[in-house]
Amino acid sequence: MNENLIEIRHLKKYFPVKEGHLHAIDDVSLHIPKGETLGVVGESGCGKSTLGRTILRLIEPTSGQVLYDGVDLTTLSGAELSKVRKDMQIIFQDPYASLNPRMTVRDLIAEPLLINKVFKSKALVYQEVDELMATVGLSKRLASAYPHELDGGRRQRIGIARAISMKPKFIVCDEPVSALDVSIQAQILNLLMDLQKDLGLTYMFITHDLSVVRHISTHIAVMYLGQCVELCPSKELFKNPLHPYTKALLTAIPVPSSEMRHKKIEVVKGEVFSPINPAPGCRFSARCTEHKESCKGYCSDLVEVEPGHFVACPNI
Amino acid sequence: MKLKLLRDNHPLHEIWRRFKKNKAAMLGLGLLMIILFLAIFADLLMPYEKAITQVGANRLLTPSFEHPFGTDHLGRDFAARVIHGSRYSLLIGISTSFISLIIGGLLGAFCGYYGGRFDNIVMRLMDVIMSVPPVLLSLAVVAALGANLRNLLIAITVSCIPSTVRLVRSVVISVADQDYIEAALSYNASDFRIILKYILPNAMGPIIVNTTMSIAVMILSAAGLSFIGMGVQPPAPEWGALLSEARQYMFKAPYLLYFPGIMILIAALSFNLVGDGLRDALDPKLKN
Amino acid sequence: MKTPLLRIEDLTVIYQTDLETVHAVNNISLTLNKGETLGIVGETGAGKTTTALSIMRLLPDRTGRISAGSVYFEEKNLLDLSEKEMRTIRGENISMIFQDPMTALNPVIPVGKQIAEALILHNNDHLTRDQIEDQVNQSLELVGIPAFRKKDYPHQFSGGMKQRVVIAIALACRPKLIIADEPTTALDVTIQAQVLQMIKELKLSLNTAMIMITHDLGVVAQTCDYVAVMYAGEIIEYGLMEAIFDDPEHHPYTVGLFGAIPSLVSECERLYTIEGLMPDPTQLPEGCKFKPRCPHAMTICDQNPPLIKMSETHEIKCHLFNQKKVSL
Repeated sequence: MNENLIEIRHLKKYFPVKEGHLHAIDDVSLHIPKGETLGVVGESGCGKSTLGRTILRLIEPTSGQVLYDGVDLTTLSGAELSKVRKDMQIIFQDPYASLNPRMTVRDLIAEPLLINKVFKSKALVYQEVDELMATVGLSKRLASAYPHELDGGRRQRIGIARAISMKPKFIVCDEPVSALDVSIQAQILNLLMDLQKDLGLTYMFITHDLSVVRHISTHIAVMYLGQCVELCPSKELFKNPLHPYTKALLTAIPVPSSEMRHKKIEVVKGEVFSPINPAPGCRFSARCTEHKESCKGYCSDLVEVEPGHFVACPNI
Repeated sequence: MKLKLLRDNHPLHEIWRRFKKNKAAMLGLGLLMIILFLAIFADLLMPYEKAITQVGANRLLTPSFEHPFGTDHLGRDFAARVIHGSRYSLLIGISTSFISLIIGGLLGAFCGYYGGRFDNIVMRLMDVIMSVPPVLLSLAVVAALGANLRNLLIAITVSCIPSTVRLVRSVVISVADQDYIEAALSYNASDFRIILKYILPNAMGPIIVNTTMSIAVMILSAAGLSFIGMGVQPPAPEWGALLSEARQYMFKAPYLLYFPGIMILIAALSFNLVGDGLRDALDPKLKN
Repeated sequence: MKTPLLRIEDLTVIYQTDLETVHAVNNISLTLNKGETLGIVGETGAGKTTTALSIMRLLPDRTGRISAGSVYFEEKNLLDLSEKEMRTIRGENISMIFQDPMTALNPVIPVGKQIAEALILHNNDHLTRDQIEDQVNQSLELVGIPAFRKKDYPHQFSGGMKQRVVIAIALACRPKLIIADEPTTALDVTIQAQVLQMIKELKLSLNTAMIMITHDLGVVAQTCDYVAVMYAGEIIEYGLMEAIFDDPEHHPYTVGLFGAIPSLVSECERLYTIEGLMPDPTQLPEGCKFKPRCPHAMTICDQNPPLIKMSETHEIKCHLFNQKKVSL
């Protein structure tokens, strides 16, 4: 088997709020093998975006470890961190907010190269930018355009070109296609998969869209209220979902098929409750159809029920 | 035009297009151009000697072809004094605004970006300054340092800094929240670069508007201080000082009050109109 | 033949700014009967929302203009009505649900009052205050919110609950037609499922007609009877939901739209993509608007294609099916 490029151990991030602590990430352990894609799915507020940013140390974790190629990132500082950051990049959800509106396309893509002094002269940098633009499918004449003149798909291509400019090994994709129309979404997903093949990238792909995650991921982690409730190869997840929340999530997706009209939509009752000072025990138990008295107070850890299939549920 | 220096698709073109549509703002810009023209070419229009040469025989003449604005109580040509006065007023207004923009802007940017203890200390200090009425503060500074042009500049600048710090800080906080700042961090951009290349250019809109408007306020407060004798010293022809001198001859020669008064009004009005126009042109919500 | 509830004929809408003219909706026609649901599908900028706003006569004053066509609601042309008459139509006969429940509610007024306001504004039956309170309670319970929460403010509700409140307001006057503009896009999947199921049940019990605007074909499949696919301001395919999903022949754009969605069931290496971008609505191409991106583009496509009836319940606006028309 491949070795793990990223390994997260007992990662926690609590944000202090008025009422106590918001448990954005609560004891999450994950690993991403080299060259593969880990999809992270969950509903809004489940901590998936915080997880991606904490791995890159754009947010400082409260406790736990993030191992990149065996090196613990949480202990690095200054120059060492800068060096590792060249290997790890992020693509943002909102292609409108993630590009500096005062820079041209060329400057946006050149910025990481200039800052990290990859090339000796500006001419070499701009030559590289031209190549990057070709790689992500941006035509050369857009080089001096400003982001506000471009559509969402092209902006996201800029974001991707900027992310791959440092030749990273690992990219966190934070809902990169959620803000795009389906036909553009398909173009970007294809581009991301092509780049992975050509450059040998490892992805962490954060999304709320299960059909997208199934398409792009090799492994999937399902998150609920700061905790990872299920982790397994993606085919396995769709064939044999074990955690009640995963099951609920899968049945809730509206499938584009004409048989759906007369079917009753399967509904999980209740809503995601607040991640501020959560009670101990399984956090899904309040909405769970299979929940028992024993679920309360049970500390759910991921347990390997089948080879490679981890679930955090007391009833399995 | 100066805008031709920019690329065709530069965001400033769009702003200029929207600014042009605002008639009041264009009027303000026109008035501003006239005042700037007077100030820049004052020496060509009227030699400075004319403004300070005292001719005993010409005391308090009414406006005529030779002396369009008349003469003052010492027989100096009043038109020359008013025209040269525009230099002082614009110099004071623009330089104090820019100095307070630079000092206040940097302080505000650092406070907004870093937050924490530094922010707390600076902001409380600003609160202290703001709790003293600005005129009183300027008076105190001038009284302590002595009345001359340099100290007048210092006095007005100090009283203006707190509001600039507050404004810049709040704008910077909202810009610093954007994703592209996080993106810059992820590819190792230094804090200095982030503030200079990412935050300030995007926070510039409200700051420019505020600076333009504050020039008007500065001109007024400089005139005010000179009026009570705490600013520019005679024989220098500052508008506030002119008004002050003319006050004694209010009934004999009322025209001596009109001209500097009207000039102060026009200068303040034009900066305000331009500032208003800029604010509307920079507001993306009002597009089209 | 029964008269349709809503009939749109040759509606054309433009947005005029001092720089350019945006052709947002180009010559569309639609009908909707009582109790039916029509799904309008398309990507950003296809003209879905503009169509909805035109029906409500809520286009932005300064720029939007209906340049041609008519909108008949119960055989009354809404475009001929005065603003005052239109106000009685809105809310009472047609109401709208907006995409973002966070901004659709007034944050400083309790939700019960916001529902009551809709009732008071259209109080034609001279209800007493108690009767109105009763109706507010009913409306809330209808959307699954206990009536005692009517004194709560919007911020005390979660996103899904807020959208329920918005729907309760829309339903308060029992309108004959509801226009829902992406009602579940801002919600999480499990909450979306709850809201969609609720909308489905309400439609059955109240027999309200509905226009469901969405980009999500899954939502269409679950809720709609008829589907109109919009592209660059035109309806390029229209038909019974089953026809759109199951018939073998489709407009090339519809094919692309379906192909672009990653499937939950089948495997594929690459997603089918439609090359290029939506045409610039200020300079639409001559003839078929999809021609520049179409893999089947022919010379005849320079002419505007007719809407071809494939069957009783399926129409396609594409030259590919010209032969079909002859044989029918």
